[in-house]
Amino acid sequence: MTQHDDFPYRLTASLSQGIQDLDAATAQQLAQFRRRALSARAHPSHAGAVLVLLHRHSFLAPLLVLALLFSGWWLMQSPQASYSAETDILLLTGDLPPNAYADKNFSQWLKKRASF
Amino acid sequence: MRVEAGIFDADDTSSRNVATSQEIDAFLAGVERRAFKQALFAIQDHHSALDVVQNAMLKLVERYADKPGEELPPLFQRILQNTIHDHFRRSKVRNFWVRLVSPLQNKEDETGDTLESLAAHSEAMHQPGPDKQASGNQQLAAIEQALTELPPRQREAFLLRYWEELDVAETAKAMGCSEGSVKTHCFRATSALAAKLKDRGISL
Repeated sequence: MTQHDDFPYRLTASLSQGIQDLDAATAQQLAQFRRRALSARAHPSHAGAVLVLLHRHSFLAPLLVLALLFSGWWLMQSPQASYSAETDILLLTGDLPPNAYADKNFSQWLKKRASF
Repeated sequence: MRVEAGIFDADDTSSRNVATSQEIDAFLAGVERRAFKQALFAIQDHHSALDVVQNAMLKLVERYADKPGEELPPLFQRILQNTIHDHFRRSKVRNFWVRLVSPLQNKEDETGDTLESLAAHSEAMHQPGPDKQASGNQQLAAIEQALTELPPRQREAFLLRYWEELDVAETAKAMGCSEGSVKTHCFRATSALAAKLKDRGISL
């Protein structure tokens, strides 16, 4: 091996010597990251995985917000009004007066009757 | 350039020994400082470099813990390089949104924020100072500075090939380029580093 061929390895040997002098705080943090990664292997967490995914793909956050807004809007548009109108009609046209449903004894009577 | 994970996948991993937690721990302990320095040379920000190494470790353990121990070094290097590229991509997206929102802020706030962000950036850039000062090694500082000044692909090839001691084929796979490109990048990086160090009066 010539002097020139050896140059990259002499350079990286200096770098390797340099990383031994890495400050203690950084070295501790690196060791902590390693332990955390290994504990993630032992105890995989789905909630943690979602957070990691969001952290790595930060562009997903606005999409998630948009999806939530859209689902909220969709729920608002769902036909709740017609359902409540139908229920109202059934209540008002039924044999029982509407007050009967608010009576505690009536619900107990219904349960007893259902158990027979 | 992002390189897909499957390139190092073996045809049949079930017949080989899966790395144990102790093996992964020992591997990461051996590589973590070099990985941090690699990220620091590329990103030049102490906190971001730490984040990158943490993400790379998590990715390795989460996705490739079922690989044999001997496959871990090239896998980790590829994950690290991809994570560094992801960091730059995210920064680009973040900067785009910041630039989009910034006209909405009034001029006074903008000036204040800019000064604060400049101060924060300066602080972050100088964070690795203590370990450089502690080393008290002008030669090392000159080498690190010269590496920082290299074009990213040349630095990547040089560090993978000569510091991580991957062979040309593994380096090419990790970088997602041809073996010929690796040789060219390494040759140019070595020449540039030798010239830069000579200019600074450093002889190795």
